[in-house]
Amino acid sequence: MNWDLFFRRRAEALLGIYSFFCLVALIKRWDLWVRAVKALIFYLLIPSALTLSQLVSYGVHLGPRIPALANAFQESQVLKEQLRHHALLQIEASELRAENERLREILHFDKKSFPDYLVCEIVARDPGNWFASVLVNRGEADGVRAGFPVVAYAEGHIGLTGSVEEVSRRSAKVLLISDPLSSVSVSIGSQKELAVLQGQGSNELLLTFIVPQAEIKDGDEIITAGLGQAYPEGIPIGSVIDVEPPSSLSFRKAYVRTFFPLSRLKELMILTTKKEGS
Amino acid sequence: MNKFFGFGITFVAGFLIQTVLASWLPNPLLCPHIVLLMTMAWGLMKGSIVGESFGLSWGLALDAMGMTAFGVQGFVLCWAGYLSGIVSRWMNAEETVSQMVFAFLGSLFYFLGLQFLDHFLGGIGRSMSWGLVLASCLMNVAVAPFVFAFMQRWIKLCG
Repeated sequence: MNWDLFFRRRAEALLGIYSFFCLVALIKRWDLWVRAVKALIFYLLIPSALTLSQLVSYGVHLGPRIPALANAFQESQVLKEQLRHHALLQIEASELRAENERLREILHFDKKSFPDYLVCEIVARDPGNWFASVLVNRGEADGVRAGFPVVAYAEGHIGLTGSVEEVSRRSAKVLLISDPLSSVSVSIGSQKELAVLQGQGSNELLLTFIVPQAEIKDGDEIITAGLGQAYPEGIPIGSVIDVEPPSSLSFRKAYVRTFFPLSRLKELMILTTKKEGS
Repeated sequence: MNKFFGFGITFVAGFLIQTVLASWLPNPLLCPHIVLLMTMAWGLMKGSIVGESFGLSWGLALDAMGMTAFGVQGFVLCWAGYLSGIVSRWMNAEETVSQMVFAFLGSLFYFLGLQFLDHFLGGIGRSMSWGLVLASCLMNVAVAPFVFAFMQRWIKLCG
């Protein structure tokens, strides 16, 4: 082997090795060793990401209160100390109040329809902008499996949010229904017309494969149809906001808005059993 | 500062900045690709070997954390780092306009690279709209001067 050439062309040699590794990993992506390396990197990095996420969360809530603390400092040192202590307590209390309200809402969740679910917290979102996915703090150890449907309760509505795509021991990745890779079989309004709901990367979802004769109108509620067994039947998703005019030859399209913005959710519920009767 | 200690800190910090930005911005599509810009900065200022090594490390970390197949972003970012090192011979990395043009071309290379790889080997499973690609490139261009300025100081500190 010509080592001189190797050392003279180190950058190109390293690039070749790196590229070869990536391409092999990509081609053999389902092999055990590739998944093991991926899982190892994930386990090494996730603690730092989670810790920083919590610190930022704390910082975001603390930020607006800093001017108040600065004014208090001008009045007196003692008062400042008391105010800082009070401010911290206030942050904690408001956090707890907000959490309490959200958990109360979750308690009103339809227990009869969904007997078993796990409440989980969103700890991070996909670092790239290619996927609408989130990382939640429940994993295999809590009984979560890939394919479990995920719902949320916010703004007075239960709504389908996505499904579990990958599971590790203490966390899971959830692909949101707003992701363009996501497709859900749904039924529309009281007529129960069937269609397929596809993500578009935003809170507006595309309803396709609607038969031309279907009677749908703005405001019709969309629920899961339960076909394909990916999602149980009857989970609300959103309502129709725009319908394309009927045409005799092709399928119609419509647009649906979710009941609440998926990007603002903090807690989700993973359904661990299917809805009764589905 | 010890060079390798500096490299380690840079890797962790870059990854965390990208993760936190993606998690806290109201719209994920508005998230600039800080890690791509940092990779290009390393390539421009320290040469291809450092650039491609950082590109590979950050790319694999993003693949592990996200939904892309393992190796997709590693491959593209690694090439972005290498090409930055090559381009550094002809480019003045301290000029703001050059940085912005370079950031735009680098971002375009990144998205086209991902699409190219996905077309032949899969791993992303989608095609990105041109509007979205352009918006992401412009977002990277907007933050590029700040990232490059910071990286110039940081790389001097690392030695």
